[in-house]
Formats: sequence, structure tokens, C-alpha cells
Amino acid sequence: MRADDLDYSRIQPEPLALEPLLLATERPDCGALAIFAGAVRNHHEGAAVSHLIYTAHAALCDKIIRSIEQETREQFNVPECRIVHRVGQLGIGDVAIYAVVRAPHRAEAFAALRYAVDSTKHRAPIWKEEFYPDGSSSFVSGCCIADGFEPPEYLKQLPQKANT
Amino acid sequence: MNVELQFWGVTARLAGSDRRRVTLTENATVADAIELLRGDAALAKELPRCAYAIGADLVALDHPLSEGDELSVLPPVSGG
Repeated sequence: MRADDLDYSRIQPEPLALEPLLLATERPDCGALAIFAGAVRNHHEGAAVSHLIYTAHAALCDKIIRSIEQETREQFNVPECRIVHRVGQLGIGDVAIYAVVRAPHRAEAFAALRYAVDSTKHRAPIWKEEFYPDGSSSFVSGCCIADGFEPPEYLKQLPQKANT
Repeated sequence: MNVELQFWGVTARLAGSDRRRVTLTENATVADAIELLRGDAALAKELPRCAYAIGADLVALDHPLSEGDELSVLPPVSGG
């Protein structure tokens, strides 16, 4: 683990700030900066959504997100990848996830960013509970992280980690 | 031995609580602990799609349990 990885948790209850991620990853050999921000929508599968509550198994989630960052750096040969996800109650428009990738060129930055975001959505132990205008709620059906479950097709097509 | 189950996401709603203490025989595994939940029909339906963790480590169904373990039941995830 890199020393500067210890400076913050990948799971945060406070509103997410992009600036610290940009400052922590700044480097002169990277001409491409790719950023993804995932914000809360006011609808899902045709139903109006009033707000969300995210919960996470913080210790496992922090560990898995750090490993996704490392995989992303290794598999796409990009020097910087940072991901942070918010938990707690989020309103419409609030940012739930930031992912930042820096690379020498844009092609690997875009590919690495998609891998980082998709892997976080499919592997990090985070659960989204949607609340509706009538006060009811439901958990969004998600991705199984148990051994033996096949990843989605598009994740299979990405480069496989060579050293594990 | 005593083990505490911790339910996450929809499993907490289905279990009616986010924690449940269970008593198991010595040499029990994760599978033995989960077997105790199969009497709860709504929860049992979700279990085939759950993963399990102790602390910050995912564990397999044949992982041996120890006195005082906190075993997390992790349903399908939906972050992002």
C-alpha cells in the first residue's frame, strides 16, 4: 500500500469534495484527467425518488475499493486512481461517488475510469435504499459478490489482472 | 460457542434486526451459522445470493468460526 493511500477513508459520511482528490493525484507526467461523478437521480425504473440512504460495511468496503484502485493502476498502466463513496442520507443531486484517474493519455484514462467505477458498483459492499414520495422505501437490487457468481459480460472483456 | 450475525442491506429488513446472536457447536462453519436462518422464509430466499465476511475479510461457507466472531451477511450490492 502506498503511503499516501492512508490519508483518508474511501467511505465518507460527509458531502464529497473533488478538490482533495485532484490535489492528491496531481502529477506532471499525466496529460489526461478523467473524472466520474455519480449523483442521485429523482427517478428509478419509472418511479419518482425523493432521496436515498446508502449503507456500507465500512472496513470491507475500504479494503475492496483500495484493491480496485490498485487493480486499475496495474491493469491499465495508469499512475493514479482514487475512488470515494458517500454513505448516509443523500438528496437529489448529491454526489454519491467520485472516481478520478490520471494517465499520460486519454484512451487509457477513459478505459481505466470505467473499470474503476463499474468495479466499485459491482464489488464494494454498499447498499442503496430508495425512498419514494409516499414515504415507502425499497433496497435496489444489485450484484452478488459471493464466489461463484459470474461478473457482467462487459467486465469480463476488460484486461485480467496478470499477477493473481 | 456464540457468534453474532450482522445483517446488511435488505437482509437487515428481512431479519427484523441488524444483529442476531446464535449459539453453535464447536468446529461450526459459516454454513452451519447460515443454516440456522433457513427457517425464516423471507430471509432464506435471499441467502443464496449473499456473501459472508468476518471483519474486513470475505469468507467461504466452509470457513471455521471462532467464539465471538462477528459474521456479516452481505446481500447483492448496489453502490454508485
